[in-house]
Amino acid sequence: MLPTYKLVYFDGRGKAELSRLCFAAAGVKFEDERVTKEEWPALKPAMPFGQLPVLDVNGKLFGQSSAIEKYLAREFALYGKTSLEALEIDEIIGLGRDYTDLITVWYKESDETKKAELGTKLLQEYLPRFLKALDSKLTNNVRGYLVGNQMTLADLAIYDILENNFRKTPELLQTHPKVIEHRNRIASSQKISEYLKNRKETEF
Amino acid sequence: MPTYRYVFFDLRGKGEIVRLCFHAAGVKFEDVRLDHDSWPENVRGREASPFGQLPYLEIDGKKFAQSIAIAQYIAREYGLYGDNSLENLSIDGVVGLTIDYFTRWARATYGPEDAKRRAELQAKVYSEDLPKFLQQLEELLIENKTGYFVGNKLTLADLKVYTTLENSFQEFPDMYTKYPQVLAHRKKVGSQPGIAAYLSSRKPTPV
Repeated sequence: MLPTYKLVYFDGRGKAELSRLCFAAAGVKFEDERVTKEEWPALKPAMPFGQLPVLDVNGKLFGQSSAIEKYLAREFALYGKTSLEALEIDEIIGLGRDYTDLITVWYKESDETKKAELGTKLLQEYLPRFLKALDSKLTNNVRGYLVGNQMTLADLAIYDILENNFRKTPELLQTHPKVIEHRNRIASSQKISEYLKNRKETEF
Repeated sequence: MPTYRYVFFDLRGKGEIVRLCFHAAGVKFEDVRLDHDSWPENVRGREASPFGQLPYLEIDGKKFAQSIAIAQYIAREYGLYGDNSLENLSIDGVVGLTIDYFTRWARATYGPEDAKRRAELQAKVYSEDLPKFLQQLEELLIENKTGYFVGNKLTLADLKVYTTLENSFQEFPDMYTKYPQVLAHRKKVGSQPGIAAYLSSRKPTPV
C-alpha cells in the first residue's frame, strides 16, 4: 500500500516542482501544501534542516529537494532500469544543478555591472554549453528520452530547469531543435499534459 | 566486477568522496590524478572527459561524469547506501546539506576575482555558514544515536561529511570542540578499515 504523501513548499515551482512532476508522472496523489512568507517563520524550526521543500511520508519528515526527487523517482519507476541508467540520470541531474547554480550566482549578485556580465556569460556560454550536453544525450538515444527508453527523472528535471528559459529567452533555444522536441514530448505525455493544464501559474 | 578507472585532479576537492567510497568498500580502482595547472590540455584525446569536466569514472571503458552521481553509484553497488529507500533518502538528505555548504565555500573561495572580496566572503562562510552546518550535523548525530548519520553503519553520508569538513578541520580545529559528536564522528570514520589505510598513505593536498 502506498504511503500518504505531503509535499511542503512555498507557493511556486522553485525547488519543489520536480517533485510535483514526479507525482504527476506516476499518477500518485499527494497533499501539495503551500506555505506563505508569513507562515514560514513559525514553521521553520519544525522542518528538517530548517528548509523547504520537505516531504512527509506517513508523518515522517525528510528535507533536501534533490534527495526527495531521487526517492520519488525510485518509488515511481522513474529512475531507469539498471544501476548504470540511474547513474546516467544522476549525471544529467548534476549537469542541471551546475547550470542552475550559475543562475543562482547571477541572481544573487548585487553589483549591477558584475550582474550584467554574469548574465551575458550565462546566455552566451553556460546555457549553450548545457544545451550542447543535452543535445549529445538526445542524439545518442533513438527513443528521444535522455536516458533509456522511457520517461525518467532526468527528462522531468530538464523540463523543469528550462521552464524559465523557455518563457523568457525562447529564441536561444531555437538552435537546439532536439531539446525543443524533447520538451514537447514530455509536455504532451498524457499525465504531464494533464498536470500542466491544471497547474497554478506562478512567476517562479 | 567491472574495471574502474577514476580520473580527477591531484586534489581532494569535490572528487575525494569517490575515492573514499572505493576505499571504504574495499573495491579496487585506478586512481588517476591529473595536474590541475595543466588543465584542460591534459584531458584531450585519451583523457577526454564527458562534458569537459572532471571527475569522471570509467566503468569497463565507458565514461561517466559528475562526482555526486558517481559516488551514489558506488555507494549503491557496494553497500554504502543504507538498507532501504527511506534510508537512501536520509543519506541523500545529509549529502545535500554538505553540497549546500560546499557550494557556499566554493563560491567564496573561487568566485571573487579580488583578494579582499574573497577574504570577506570566506570570513562570512567560516563565521556563519560553517557553525550553522556543524550544529545541524551535531543534532543529526545526536538524533540517530549510533554515531553514524543514518542507520547503524558507515554510509555515503558519513564519508561525504568527512571529506567536506577536512579543510575547516585543519584550519579551525578549536571550533570543533563545540561539536563533540562531529569530532567523534571524524575519528570513527577515519578509523574504518579501508579508510584508515588510505588516509595514512594519502599525500596531503592544499584542498
